[in-house]
Amino acid sequence: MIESRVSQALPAWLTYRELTGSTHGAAITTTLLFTQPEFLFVILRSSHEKFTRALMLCFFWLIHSFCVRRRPGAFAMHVGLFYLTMFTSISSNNLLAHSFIFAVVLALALAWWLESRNPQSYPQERLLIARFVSITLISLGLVYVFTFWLYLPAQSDLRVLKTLSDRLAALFLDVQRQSTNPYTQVASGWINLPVYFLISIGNWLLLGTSFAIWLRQSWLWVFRRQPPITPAGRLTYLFYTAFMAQGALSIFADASGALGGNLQHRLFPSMSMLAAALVGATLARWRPVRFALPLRAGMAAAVFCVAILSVVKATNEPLLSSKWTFYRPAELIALEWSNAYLQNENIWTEFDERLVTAWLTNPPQSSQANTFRGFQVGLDTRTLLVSDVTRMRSARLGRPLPIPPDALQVYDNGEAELYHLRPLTPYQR
Amino acid sequence: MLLDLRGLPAGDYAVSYAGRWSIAPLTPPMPSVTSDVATLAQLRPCALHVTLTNNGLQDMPHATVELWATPQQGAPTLAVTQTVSLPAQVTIRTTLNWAALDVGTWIVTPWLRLPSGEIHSFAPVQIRVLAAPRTPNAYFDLSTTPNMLWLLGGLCVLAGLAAWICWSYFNLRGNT
Repeated sequence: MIESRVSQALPAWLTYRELTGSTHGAAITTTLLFTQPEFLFVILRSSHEKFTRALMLCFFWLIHSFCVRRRPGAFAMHVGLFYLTMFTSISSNNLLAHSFIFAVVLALALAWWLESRNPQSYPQERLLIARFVSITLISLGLVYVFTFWLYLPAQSDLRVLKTLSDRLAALFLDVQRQSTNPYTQVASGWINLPVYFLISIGNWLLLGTSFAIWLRQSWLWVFRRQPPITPAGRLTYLFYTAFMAQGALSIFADASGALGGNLQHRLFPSMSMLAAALVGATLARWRPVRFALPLRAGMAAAVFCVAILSVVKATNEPLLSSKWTFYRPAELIALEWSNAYLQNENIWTEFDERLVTAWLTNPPQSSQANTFRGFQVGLDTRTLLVSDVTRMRSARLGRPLPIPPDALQVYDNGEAELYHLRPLTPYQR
Repeated sequence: MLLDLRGLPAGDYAVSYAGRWSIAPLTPPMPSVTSDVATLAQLRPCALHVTLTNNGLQDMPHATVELWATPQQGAPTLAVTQTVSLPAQVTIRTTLNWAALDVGTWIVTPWLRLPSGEIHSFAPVQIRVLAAPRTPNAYFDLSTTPNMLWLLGGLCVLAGLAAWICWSYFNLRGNT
């Protein structure tokens, strides 16, 4: 857990020092980011995102290179590092890289529109637009090179787009076909919804505060023609708007079910990076005169509470990660026993991949050609593992245990049992 | 000695031999079904024993036993089916496996569906279904470790660090 945080904290601090323009702004913003349950969730669950999120933070840091163009050496280094980071991101996770490129396109469109409304804008505005154009073109070129020349299997991702369009059509044109509502999973995954909202409070606070700041900045920029003073402030505003638009689009994509119904899990951390920058920069500039001490103490206390609640939320998320990493030693002992005394058997383990993953992460000394399976019981599966956790999950999921009453119990260690189905033909044992 | 068929009206008859031939009108199947009253565990497949008797003189070679289960508040649903062969004047005992989805009292009604489409319904039985273990405390007991206090202590230290950063850097005058 500590290692994950450190690998994110350094790029986060560097990025936020650029975006907020101060070291204390960077400290506050980095702290806010690490109290976000959705951000903690993706970097703590041992997935690729602990790297890809760090890469995305580096994007925001290095994209700021147009501010150092007066120093050719530093500028070249920023630009070179940016595209190296982009290529790394494309080659490790296409979805997040495309999400960032799409955000650049949206930010470019917004910047163009705002600049056309106010031609006497800051000169950096045009530099920013030029930077966005070059980033879009070069990044798309890198995507093309990687997808069609370097790693051909990546072309399968293109098929997702067709599936996405099909499913969106299903969603809007024929709601009876294939569409899903992933947001109902919250109610099915969490036992107590008030507790869910309490431990998610870091999300709602950051969302609400950043949206209020964004509304004010939009009013000032669009109607009063007063953009944020610093280039970094304008960059933060543009990217926040772009990721907010992506978040809105992800609701439709999730409803279509084309990308597994968890796009909001992928996009919200990206948005929270910018939301933290928006709120952190505002807090760093805020100089309250009245009630300064109570405000300071209240904010510290709130961050303390939200930090604890967010870690609880991130490490107990029932929908994605925690079920993969949760297993009991007795369950593993039962798996080892079955592997030691059975040969060439398919062994059913759970309603999903939970225990299969536990088995794969604890590989046995010798293999007896047994296959551990989750999900449905296959026709060729005649040995089944049932543990106390499986029984509770059966009750929680509302799915019956697949053990017929006449099955033979062949193993029991107090927490986990193995059952063997009775033979139904002369050829079965 | 030949069977005397004289004077018999047209129809179906059962002919039997027990030292001498006898003939009797073939009565239609007269099934009766009894089920064991049982207490089941929720979501755990359990055996329900059903006794079927055909008191008629006509065999029922391809009858289907259906158990329709009705929860306390809800519509009846088809719980389980089994095809049986029920000869005349024979009693058979069959076992059907069923897992109740909800806790409470269920009314289970046996049906017998004949290939001709004829359906016989029999007296329902009440089955009590007990809850499966699902309390959050059970999960918590399984998840806790002796090191939990250390984990909580570490978490508080990290949260305290976050609070200290905010305390130190918020409203910091003169620093840009």
